[in-house]
Amino acid sequence: MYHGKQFTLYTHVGGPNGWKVALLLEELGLSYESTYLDFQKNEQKQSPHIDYNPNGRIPTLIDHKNEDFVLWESNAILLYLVDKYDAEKRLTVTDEKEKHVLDQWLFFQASGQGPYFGQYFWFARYHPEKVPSAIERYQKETQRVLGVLDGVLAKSPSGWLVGGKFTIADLSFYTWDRAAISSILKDVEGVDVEKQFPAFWAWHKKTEARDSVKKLTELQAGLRTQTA
Amino acid sequence: MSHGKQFTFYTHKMGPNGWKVAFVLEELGLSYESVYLDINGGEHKRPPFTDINPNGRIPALVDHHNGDFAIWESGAIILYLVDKYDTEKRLSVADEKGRYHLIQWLFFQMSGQGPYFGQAFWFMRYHPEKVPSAVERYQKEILRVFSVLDGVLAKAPGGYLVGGKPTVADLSFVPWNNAAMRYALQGLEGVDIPKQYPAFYAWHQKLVEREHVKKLLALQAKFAQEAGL
Repeated sequence: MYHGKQFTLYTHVGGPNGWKVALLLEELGLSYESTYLDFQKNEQKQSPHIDYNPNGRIPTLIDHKNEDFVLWESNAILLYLVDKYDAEKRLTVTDEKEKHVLDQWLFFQASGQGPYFGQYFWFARYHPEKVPSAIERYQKETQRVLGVLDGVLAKSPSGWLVGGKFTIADLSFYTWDRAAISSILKDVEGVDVEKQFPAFWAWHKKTEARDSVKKLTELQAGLRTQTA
Repeated sequence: MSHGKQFTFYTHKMGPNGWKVAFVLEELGLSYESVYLDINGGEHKRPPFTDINPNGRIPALVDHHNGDFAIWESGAIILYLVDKYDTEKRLSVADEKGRYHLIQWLFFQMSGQGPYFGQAFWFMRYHPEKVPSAVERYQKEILRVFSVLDGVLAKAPGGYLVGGKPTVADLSFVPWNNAAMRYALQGLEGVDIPKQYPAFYAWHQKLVEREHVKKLLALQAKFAQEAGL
């Protein structure tokens, strides 16, 4: 049954990487239908999703205005969307060097932030036994990453990562950083994110104030109460 | 420091992500000077390296033919090298859909292979206490990633990930796959990679037989031997 929207987005109510892509779709004013997969039932590893994405992880995007083009890996999706649909280049950069710096930040987010923050949640919530040293490892790495971002942002004249403005580079970090603040570092002794990483905090809050973020935060909260 | 090469390449003698980029530099015939950082001594977490890469991880690349442009994150470096220097598209593709699929595979390698395989090594060798359940988690994930690649490659035109030919998408998986097969699956019973993941294995073997890849893997192995590993 075709929903009539330009995109189908396979995603999850909680997963940060899905909301990351949804934020960009909103920012670009693109029409999309979200299918929220049930991880308890392992839907992400079953048909139809696994037929589109053999890795069985969300998000996966289908572009019905481009011959049902299928793409997975959230930051590959971000690049596809801005390159093809951000005609004014509002959320990306055009300078040759800056484009590669933007890619660099996307790869750092995808490899150095997401997976490490994600391992905290695995060991804190899902691992078959409690391993405090593993939990601690990923809490420490979370702080280290926030420190790296803080140091870079403190020196950035615009307070953004690249191009002197908000781009998908900044956007890509937001959903996992939100999880870091609300969960990963919440009860860690002696940690005060706002105080210890002030440039990071200001940058995070500026992103949070965007209309797209407010809209989807509310949407997500509503979905969570439905599925709880 | 003027070594006369086009690039200064900050890397490590064993670190897989460094060798990943070295493959591409060699395959594209680019001149580079490798600076092997002393990770044990913390050289990567201090200036001058952190002036180039505030995250303090290798590799990082400086292009002296482009105003000393500095870039880090191996996936980003690889895209920079092909976009700027692979004019004949020998290791990349030109069509729009192929390009984004290539980028997709690079992100899968960077987020779904490297970090997970890396955690296996962390818990096997470096974590302050032995946690068999953590080692097992990441070993299982290694096999799951092998099976994902196997399933795709069994159906892929030419037996390569994108465009029916070898590209940087394929090359990017080699170092961590190599490391996983050599070291990280020890202690796992009933594992037979060529039998259980035949398309994956055939693909990996084709890649490691490439002239430049073979040469660099031999160099890496020499360094490992010198380090007593």
